[in-house]
Amino acid sequence: MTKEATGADIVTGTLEEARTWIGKKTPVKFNETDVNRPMIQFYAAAVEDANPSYWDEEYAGNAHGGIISPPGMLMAWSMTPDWNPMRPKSQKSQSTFDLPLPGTTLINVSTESEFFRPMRIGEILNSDSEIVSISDEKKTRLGIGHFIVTQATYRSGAGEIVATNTNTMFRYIAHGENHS
Amino acid sequence: MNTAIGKFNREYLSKVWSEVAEGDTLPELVMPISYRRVIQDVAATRDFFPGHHDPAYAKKQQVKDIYLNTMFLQGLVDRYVSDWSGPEAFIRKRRIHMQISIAAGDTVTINGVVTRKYEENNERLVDVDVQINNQDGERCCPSSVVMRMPA
Repeated sequence: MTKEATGADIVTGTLEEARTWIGKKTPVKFNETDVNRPMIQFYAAAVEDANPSYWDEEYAGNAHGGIISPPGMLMAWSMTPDWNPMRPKSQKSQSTFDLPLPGTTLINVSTESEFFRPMRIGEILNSDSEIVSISDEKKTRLGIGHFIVTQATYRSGAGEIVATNTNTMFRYIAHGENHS
Repeated sequence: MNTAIGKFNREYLSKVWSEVAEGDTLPELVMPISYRRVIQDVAATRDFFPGHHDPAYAKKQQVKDIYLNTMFLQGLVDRYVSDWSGPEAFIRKRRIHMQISIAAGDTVTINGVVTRKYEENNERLVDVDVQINNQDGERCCPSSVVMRMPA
């Protein structure tokens, strides 16, 4: 066994087990972080996005009623802090990390998003998702594994659909990984 | 062009739908991807998956070094098209396909072209194809965006 500096907490299992998850919608998950200006500007700075909708209150106020979130932050708002004392202990994420498949690691392959309106400061979005398909075993440059397609719907507190996402992720055993 | 005024009398120009044509190309953008930028990405998106901050883990995954995550590439594509359109355009749809990871030490070159201009459900739309290539000319992240533009 080799010592790892970091792990990714990925649950493994069989394809048959994993496929029993297909079509089961997750419970609605409320984001732990509201849409907020400091994170918007940190993200816009990382990609050097000068769009005044993220930086200039006067412009954004006239155009949108205030600073808005870049659309690329849709998934960022649902990322959970590494530690949160208020998080219910029983909460199960039912994410693709927990999906029982042979793959010990994962990488995202493609994401298709549709946006219906901007995300506004102060909003706490919520989402649910379901696994649509899990491919048979495939071999790629990275390793051998399965492609997982997930569909998610993101809503406002009032239940209005803000965006949808269709995501394909590859769960795999990397070439050269030591099985012993 | 539409003009809007912001703080300190800054002027922001936005393209309008009628001045865009199929085949229009977007200005090329070159961005070096430093370790610092990959870590800015982790911090900005709070994505602590180890492939984005631990080089040893990335290598075990068969990627050469820590690499940009999905949310960064989405933001980069959105920034690229909105630099061109101006802030009044709204991104209705965006698809990114990460064929080859973009890692610290790479330099990306981004190009785009308007492939379609049309009206649908009372929205004035344009489709833009975006290519993100690395320094070896490999197509890392072919993407496409549907933008709603002002009249």
